[in-house]
Amino acid sequence: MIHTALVALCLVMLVPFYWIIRTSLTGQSLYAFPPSVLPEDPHILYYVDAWYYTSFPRYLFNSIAVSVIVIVANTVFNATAGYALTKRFAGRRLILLLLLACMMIPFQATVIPAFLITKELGLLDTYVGLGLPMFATIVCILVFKNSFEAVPRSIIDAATIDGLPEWQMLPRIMLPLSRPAIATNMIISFIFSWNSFLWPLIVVRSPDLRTLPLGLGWFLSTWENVIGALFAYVVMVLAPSVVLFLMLQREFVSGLTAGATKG
Amino acid sequence: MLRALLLNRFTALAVAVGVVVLVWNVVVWLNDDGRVAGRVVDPAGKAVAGAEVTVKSNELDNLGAPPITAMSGPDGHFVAEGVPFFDFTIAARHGDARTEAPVPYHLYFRGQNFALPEPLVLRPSP
Repeated sequence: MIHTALVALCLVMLVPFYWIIRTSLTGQSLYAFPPSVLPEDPHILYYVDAWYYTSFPRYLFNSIAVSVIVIVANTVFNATAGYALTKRFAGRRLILLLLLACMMIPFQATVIPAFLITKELGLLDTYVGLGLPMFATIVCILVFKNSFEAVPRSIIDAATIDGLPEWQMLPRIMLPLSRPAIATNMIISFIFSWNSFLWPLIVVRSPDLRTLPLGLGWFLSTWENVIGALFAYVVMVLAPSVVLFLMLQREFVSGLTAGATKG
Repeated sequence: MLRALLLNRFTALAVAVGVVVLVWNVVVWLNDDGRVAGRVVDPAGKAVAGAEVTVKSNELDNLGAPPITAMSGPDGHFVAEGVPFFDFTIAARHGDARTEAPVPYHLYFRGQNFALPEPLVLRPSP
Protein backbone atom coordinates (compact mmCIF):
# COMPACT_ATOMS: atom_id res chain seq x y z
CA MET A 1 0.00 0.00 0.00
CA ILE A 2 2.76 2.40 1.01
CA HIS A 3 4.81 1.42 -2.02
CA THR A 4 1.82 2.08 -4.28
CA ALA A 5 1.39 5.52 -2.77
CA LEU A 6 5.10 6.26 -3.14
CA VAL A 7 5.08 5.14 -6.78
CA ALA A 8 2.05 7.34 -7.42
CA LEU A 9 3.81 10.29 -5.75
CA CYS A 10 6.92 9.65 -7.88
CA LEU A 11 4.80 9.70 -11.03
CA VAL A 12 3.28 13.01 -9.99
CA MET A 13 6.78 14.41 -9.39
CA LEU A 14 7.85 13.27 -12.86
CA VAL A 15 4.96 15.02 -14.66
CA PRO A 16 6.84 18.36 -15.09
CA PHE A 17 9.85 16.54 -16.55
CA TYR A 18 7.62 14.58 -18.91
CA TRP A 19 5.88 17.79 -19.96
CA ILE A 20 9.17 19.54 -20.66
CA ILE A 21 10.40 16.65 -22.83
CA ARG A 22 7.03 16.34 -24.57
CA THR A 23 6.91 20.06 -25.40
CA SER A 24 10.49 19.96 -26.67
CA LEU A 25 9.45 17.24 -29.12
CA THR A 26 6.13 18.70 -30.25
CA GLY A 27 6.26 22.45 -29.64
CA GLN A 28 2.72 22.33 -28.30
CA SER A 29 2.07 24.93 -25.61
CA LEU A 30 0.95 23.91 -22.12
CA TYR A 31 -2.19 26.00 -22.63
CA ALA A 32 -3.21 24.37 -25.90
CA PHE A 33 -6.82 23.18 -26.06
CA PRO A 34 -7.75 20.40 -26.18
CA PRO A 35 -4.70 19.24 -24.21
CA SER A 36 -3.07 16.01 -25.30
CA VAL A 37 -0.98 13.91 -22.95
CA LEU A 38 0.78 11.87 -25.61
CA PRO A 39 3.09 13.71 -28.02
CA GLU A 40 1.62 14.23 -31.48
CA ASP A 41 4.07 14.10 -34.39
CA PRO A 42 7.24 14.29 -32.27
CA HIS A 43 10.55 15.30 -33.84
CA ILE A 44 13.93 16.58 -32.68
CA LEU A 45 14.15 19.62 -34.94
CA TYR A 46 13.54 22.00 -32.03
CA TYR A 47 16.85 20.82 -30.59
CA VAL A 48 18.49 21.97 -33.82
CA ASP A 49 16.86 25.39 -33.40
CA ALA A 50 18.02 25.67 -29.78
CA TRP A 51 21.57 24.69 -30.81
CA TYR A 52 21.86 27.34 -33.52
CA TYR A 53 19.77 30.23 -32.13
CA THR A 54 21.53 30.50 -28.77
CA SER A 55 25.29 29.88 -29.23
CA PHE A 56 24.66 26.75 -27.17
CA PRO A 57 28.16 25.29 -27.63
CA ARG A 58 29.74 28.46 -26.22
CA TYR A 59 27.37 28.60 -23.26
CA LEU A 60 27.89 24.89 -22.63
CA PHE A 61 31.66 25.34 -22.59
CA ASN A 62 31.36 28.27 -20.16
CA SER A 63 29.09 26.32 -17.81
CA ILE A 64 31.39 23.30 -17.88
CA ALA A 65 34.47 25.46 -17.24
CA VAL A 66 32.87 27.22 -14.28
CA SER A 67 31.52 23.95 -12.87
CA VAL A 68 34.92 22.26 -13.06
CA ILE A 69 36.56 25.19 -11.27
CA VAL A 70 33.83 25.19 -8.62
CA ILE A 71 33.97 21.42 -8.07
CA VAL A 72 37.76 21.38 -7.66
CA ALA A 73 37.84 24.44 -5.39
CA ASN A 74 34.86 23.19 -3.42
CA THR A 75 36.42 19.80 -2.80
CA VAL A 76 39.75 21.29 -1.70
CA PHE A 77 38.33 23.98 0.59
CA ASN A 78 35.47 21.94 2.04
CA ALA A 79 37.66 18.91 2.77
CA THR A 80 40.30 21.09 4.40
CA ALA A 81 37.74 22.89 6.54
CA GLY A 82 35.96 19.63 7.41
CA TYR A 83 39.25 18.05 8.48
CA ALA A 84 40.11 21.05 10.63
CA LEU A 85 36.76 20.74 12.38
CA THR A 86 37.52 17.14 13.37
CA LYS A 87 40.32 18.44 15.61
CA ARG A 88 39.77 19.66 19.16
CA PHE A 89 40.77 23.31 19.56
CA ALA A 90 39.57 26.35 21.47
CA GLY A 91 36.61 28.00 19.75
CA ARG A 92 35.71 24.92 17.70
CA ARG A 93 32.15 24.90 19.00
CA LEU A 94 31.80 28.61 18.30
CA ILE A 95 33.01 28.15 14.73
CA LEU A 96 30.54 25.30 14.20
CA LEU A 97 27.70 27.47 15.51
CA LEU A 98 28.85 30.31 13.28
CA LEU A 99 28.83 28.03 10.24
CA LEU A 100 25.36 26.77 11.07
CA ALA A 101 24.15 30.34 11.56
CA CYS A 102 25.64 31.40 8.21
CA MET A 103 23.61 28.68 6.52
CA MET A 104 20.52 30.72 7.41
CA ILE A 105 21.69 33.73 5.38
CA PRO A 106 20.51 33.54 1.77
CA PHE A 107 23.07 34.25 -0.94
CA GLN A 108 20.96 37.14 -2.23
CA ALA A 109 21.67 39.03 1.02
CA THR A 110 25.41 38.80 0.39
CA VAL A 111 25.42 39.70 -3.29
CA ILE A 112 26.63 43.28 -2.81
CA PRO A 113 29.70 42.49 -0.66
CA ALA A 114 30.44 39.51 -2.92
CA PHE A 115 30.35 41.78 -5.96
CA LEU A 116 32.59 44.38 -4.33
CA ILE A 117 35.15 41.75 -3.29
CA THR A 118 35.13 40.20 -6.77
CA LYS A 119 35.58 43.64 -8.31
CA GLU A 120 38.50 44.49 -6.00
CA LEU A 121 40.15 41.22 -6.93
CA GLY A 122 39.78 42.10 -10.60
CA LEU A 123 37.76 38.95 -11.27
CA LEU A 124 34.65 40.44 -12.81
CA ASP A 125 33.82 38.89 -16.17
CA THR A 126 36.17 35.92 -15.62
CA TYR A 127 35.60 32.21 -15.08
CA VAL A 128 37.12 32.33 -11.57
CA GLY A 129 34.93 35.31 -10.71
CA LEU A 130 31.86 33.37 -11.86
CA GLY A 131 32.64 30.56 -9.47
CA LEU A 132 34.11 32.55 -6.56
CA PRO A 133 31.06 32.66 -4.24
CA MET A 134 30.59 28.92 -4.68
CA PHE A 135 34.15 27.92 -3.71
CA ALA A 136 32.93 26.66 -0.32
CA THR A 137 29.62 25.17 0.78
CA ILE A 138 28.81 24.86 4.48
CA VAL A 139 26.66 21.77 3.95
CA CYS A 140 29.55 19.98 2.29
CA ILE A 141 31.98 21.08 5.02
CA LEU A 142 29.72 19.34 7.54
CA VAL A 143 29.39 16.29 5.26
CA PHE A 144 33.18 16.02 5.07
CA LYS A 145 33.48 16.54 8.83
CA ASN A 146 31.07 13.70 9.53
CA SER A 147 32.77 11.47 7.00
CA PHE A 148 36.23 12.10 8.46
CA GLU A 149 34.95 11.47 11.98
CA ALA A 150 33.67 8.06 10.81
CA VAL A 151 37.21 7.00 9.83
CA PRO A 152 38.44 4.60 12.54
CA ARG A 153 40.89 6.20 14.92
CA SER A 154 43.14 3.15 14.64
CA ILE A 155 43.91 3.90 10.99
CA ILE A 156 44.94 7.46 11.83
CA ASP A 157 47.08 6.26 14.75
CA ALA A 158 48.72 3.62 12.57
CA ALA A 159 49.53 6.24 9.92
CA THR A 160 50.98 8.52 12.59
CA ILE A 161 53.11 5.72 13.99
CA ASP A 162 54.36 4.95 10.47
CA GLY A 163 55.65 8.53 10.29
CA LEU A 164 53.04 10.15 8.09
CA PRO A 165 53.17 13.96 8.57
CA GLU A 166 49.95 15.68 9.63
CA TRP A 167 49.68 17.64 6.36
CA GLN A 168 49.58 14.38 4.41
CA MET A 169 46.89 12.83 6.57
CA LEU A 170 44.09 14.48 4.58
CA PRO A 171 45.14 13.60 1.02
CA ARG A 172 46.54 10.14 1.75
CA ILE A 173 44.30 8.73 4.46
CA MET A 174 41.10 10.73 4.90
CA LEU A 175 40.10 11.52 1.33
CA PRO A 176 40.60 8.03 -0.11
CA LEU A 177 38.35 6.69 2.65
CA SER A 178 35.69 9.37 2.07
CA ARG A 179 34.64 8.77 -1.51
CA PRO A 180 30.91 9.11 -0.71
CA ALA A 181 31.56 12.54 0.79
CA ILE A 182 33.55 13.57 -2.27
CA ALA A 183 30.74 12.38 -4.55
CA THR A 184 28.19 14.29 -2.46
CA ASN A 185 30.35 17.39 -2.65
CA MET A 186 30.70 17.02 -6.42
CA ILE A 187 26.98 16.66 -6.99
CA ILE A 188 25.97 19.56 -4.73
CA SER A 189 28.64 21.95 -6.04
CA PHE A 190 27.91 20.96 -9.64
CA ILE A 191 24.19 21.58 -9.27
CA PHE A 192 24.77 24.94 -7.53
CA SER A 193 27.14 26.17 -10.22
CA TRP A 194 25.26 24.67 -13.18
CA ASN A 195 21.93 26.25 -12.19
CA SER A 196 23.33 29.54 -10.91
CA PHE A 197 21.62 32.50 -12.58
CA LEU A 198 21.76 35.53 -10.26
CA TRP A 199 25.54 35.64 -9.78
CA PRO A 200 26.47 35.19 -13.47
CA LEU A 201 23.87 37.83 -14.34
CA ILE A 202 25.69 40.28 -12.06
CA VAL A 203 29.25 39.37 -12.93
CA VAL A 204 29.13 38.66 -16.66
CA ARG A 205 29.60 41.57 -19.04
CA SER A 206 30.58 40.00 -22.36
CA PRO A 207 28.15 37.75 -24.29
CA ASP A 208 30.92 35.18 -24.82
CA LEU A 209 31.04 34.46 -21.11
CA ARG A 210 27.34 33.72 -20.64
CA THR A 211 26.50 30.44 -18.96
CA LEU A 212 23.56 28.21 -19.89
CA PRO A 213 21.02 29.78 -17.48
CA LEU A 214 21.99 33.25 -18.75
CA GLY A 215 21.66 31.98 -22.30
CA LEU A 216 18.15 30.81 -21.47
CA GLY A 217 17.27 34.26 -20.15
CA TRP A 218 18.70 35.87 -23.29
CA PHE A 219 16.78 33.37 -25.45
CA LEU A 220 13.51 34.24 -23.68
CA SER A 221 14.05 37.95 -24.09
CA THR A 222 15.10 37.74 -27.75
CA TRP A 223 12.68 35.36 -29.46
CA GLU A 224 8.93 35.06 -29.18
CA ASN A 225 6.76 32.08 -29.95
CA VAL A 226 9.62 29.57 -29.82
CA ILE A 227 8.14 27.23 -27.23
CA GLY A 228 9.57 24.06 -28.77
CA ALA A 229 13.11 25.43 -29.04
CA LEU A 230 12.88 26.95 -25.56
CA PHE A 231 11.94 23.64 -23.99
CA ALA A 232 14.56 21.82 -26.06
CA TYR A 233 17.12 24.23 -24.59
CA VAL A 234 15.80 23.48 -21.09
CA VAL A 235 16.14 19.72 -21.68
CA MET A 236 19.72 20.17 -22.90
CA VAL A 237 20.54 22.19 -19.78
CA LEU A 238 18.88 19.68 -17.44
CA ALA A 239 20.44 16.58 -18.97
CA PRO A 240 23.99 16.85 -17.49
CA SER A 241 22.67 17.40 -13.93
CA VAL A 242 20.34 14.43 -14.20
CA VAL A 243 23.02 12.19 -15.71
CA LEU A 244 25.58 13.18 -13.07
CA PHE A 245 23.15 12.51 -10.26
CA LEU A 246 22.15 9.12 -11.69
CA MET A 247 25.83 8.18 -11.99
CA LEU A 248 26.67 9.25 -8.44
CA GLN A 249 23.42 8.60 -6.58
CA ARG A 250 24.77 5.61 -4.65
CA GLU A 251 27.72 7.58 -3.34
CA PHE A 252 25.49 10.62 -2.78
CA VAL A 253 23.14 8.75 -0.45
CA SER A 254 25.94 7.05 1.46
CA GLY A 255 27.79 10.38 1.69
CA LEU A 256 24.82 12.06 3.32
CA THR A 257 24.43 9.26 5.85
CA ALA A 258 28.13 8.71 6.58
CA GLY A 259 28.77 8.83 10.27
CA ALA A 260 25.07 8.63 11.08
CA THR A 261 25.49 5.24 12.74
CA LYS A 262 28.42 3.71 14.57
CA GLY A 263 30.30 0.82 12.97
CA MET B 1 44.31 -0.19 -11.35
CA LEU B 2 44.23 0.49 -15.08
CA ARG B 3 41.52 -2.13 -15.45
CA ALA B 4 39.45 -0.45 -12.71
CA LEU B 5 39.99 2.90 -14.42
CA LEU B 6 38.82 1.58 -17.77
CA LEU B 7 35.93 -0.59 -16.60
CA ASN B 8 33.88 1.88 -14.60
CA ARG B 9 30.69 3.74 -15.46
CA PHE B 10 32.34 7.16 -15.76
CA THR B 11 34.82 6.00 -18.36
CA ALA B 12 32.06 4.14 -20.18
CA LEU B 13 29.89 7.25 -20.25
CA ALA B 14 32.74 9.49 -21.41
CA VAL B 15 33.67 7.01 -24.15
CA ALA B 16 30.02 6.66 -25.24
CA VAL B 17 29.57 10.44 -25.42
CA GLY B 18 32.87 10.80 -27.26
CA VAL B 19 31.91 8.14 -29.80
CA VAL B 20 28.50 9.72 -30.43
CA VAL B 21 30.04 13.19 -30.87
CA LEU B 22 32.71 11.80 -33.20
CA VAL B 23 30.25 9.85 -35.34
CA TRP B 24 27.90 12.83 -35.56
CA ASN B 25 30.73 15.15 -36.58
CA VAL B 26 31.84 12.70 -39.27
CA VAL B 27 28.27 12.48 -40.60
CA VAL B 28 28.05 16.29 -40.68
CA TRP B 29 31.46 16.65 -42.31
CA LEU B 30 30.53 14.19 -45.05
CA ASN B 31 27.16 15.81 -45.77
CA ASP B 32 27.52 19.57 -45.32
CA ASP B 33 28.13 20.75 -48.88
CA GLY B 34 24.84 22.66 -48.80
CA ARG B 35 23.47 20.84 -51.82
CA VAL B 36 19.69 21.03 -52.16
CA ALA B 37 18.35 18.98 -55.04
CA GLY B 38 14.87 18.47 -56.40
CA ARG B 39 12.64 18.50 -59.44
CA VAL B 40 10.25 21.01 -60.96
CA VAL B 41 7.13 19.74 -62.70
CA ASP B 42 3.87 21.11 -64.04
CA PRO B 43 0.45 20.04 -62.66
CA ALA B 44 0.47 17.09 -65.07
CA GLY B 45 3.77 15.87 -63.68
CA LYS B 46 5.78 16.83 -66.77
CA ALA B 47 9.30 18.18 -66.17
CA VAL B 48 9.74 21.94 -66.47
CA ALA B 49 13.10 23.09 -67.83
CA GLY B 50 14.53 26.53 -67.14
CA ALA B 51 12.52 27.18 -63.99
CA GLU B 52 14.12 29.49 -61.44
CA VAL B 53 14.28 27.89 -57.99
CA THR B 54 14.82 30.17 -54.97
CA VAL B 55 15.93 29.00 -51.52
CA LYS B 56 15.27 31.59 -48.80
CA SER B 57 16.33 31.44 -45.17
CA ASN B 58 13.56 30.85 -42.61
CA GLU B 59 15.95 31.10 -39.64
CA LEU B 60 14.82 33.59 -37.00
CA ASP B 61 18.26 35.21 -36.77
CA ASN B 62 18.97 35.09 -40.50
CA LEU B 63 15.76 36.11 -42.25
CA GLY B 64 17.44 38.80 -44.37
CA ALA B 65 20.14 36.52 -45.78
CA PRO B 66 20.47 36.66 -49.59
CA PRO B 67 18.58 33.77 -51.21
CA ILE B 68 20.27 31.02 -53.20
CA THR B 69 18.98 30.45 -56.73
CA ALA B 70 19.29 27.59 -59.22
CA MET B 71 17.83 26.72 -62.60
CA SER B 72 16.14 23.45 -63.50
CA GLY B 73 17.65 21.39 -66.30
CA PRO B 74 15.95 19.74 -69.31
CA ASP B 75 14.66 16.91 -67.10
CA GLY B 76 13.33 19.36 -64.51
CA HIS B 77 16.04 18.53 -62.00
CA PHE B 78 17.85 21.29 -60.19
CA VAL B 79 20.69 21.46 -57.68
CA ALA B 80 21.18 24.53 -55.49
CA GLU B 81 24.79 24.61 -54.27
CA GLY B 82 26.20 26.20 -51.14
CA VAL B 83 22.93 26.55 -49.22
CA PRO B 84 24.05 27.57 -45.72
CA PHE B 85 20.62 27.36 -44.06
CA PHE B 86 19.12 24.67 -41.83
CA ASP B 87 15.62 26.16 -41.99
CA PHE B 88 14.45 27.48 -45.33
CA THR B 89 11.61 27.81 -47.81
CA ILE B 90 11.91 26.86 -51.45
CA ALA B 91 9.87 28.17 -54.33
CA ALA B 92 10.05 28.00 -58.12
CA ARG B 93 8.78 30.14 -61.01
CA HIS B 94 8.78 29.86 -64.78
CA GLY B 95 7.21 32.67 -66.73
CA ASP B 96 3.75 33.19 -65.24
CA ALA B 97 3.71 29.87 -63.43
CA ARG B 98 4.94 29.49 -59.89
CA THR B 99 4.62 27.25 -56.83
CA GLU B 100 1.43 27.96 -54.86
CA ALA B 101 3.38 28.87 -51.73
CA PRO B 102 7.01 28.56 -50.64
CA VAL B 103 7.54 25.08 -49.23
CA PRO B 104 9.26 25.02 -45.80
CA TYR B 105 11.94 22.50 -44.89
CA HIS B 106 13.86 22.09 -41.65
CA LEU B 107 17.16 20.19 -41.66
CA TYR B 108 19.35 18.72 -38.90
CA PHE B 109 22.38 20.94 -39.40
CA ARG B 110 23.54 23.94 -41.43
CA GLY B 111 24.46 23.14 -45.01
CA GLN B 112 22.99 19.65 -44.90
CA ASN B 113 22.78 17.95 -48.31
CA PHE B 114 19.09 17.46 -48.95
CA ALA B 115 16.88 16.00 -51.68
CA LEU B 116 13.31 17.29 -51.77
CA PRO B 117 10.89 14.44 -51.06
CA GLU B 118 8.25 15.97 -53.33
CA PRO B 119 8.71 17.79 -56.66
CA LEU B 120 7.89 21.50 -56.86
CA VAL B 121 4.65 21.88 -58.82
CA LEU B 122 4.27 25.02 -60.93
CA ARG B 123 0.78 26.36 -61.44
CA PRO B 124 -0.27 29.28 -63.63
CA SER B 125 -0.77 32.52 -61.70
CA PRO B 126 -4.44 33.56 -61.39
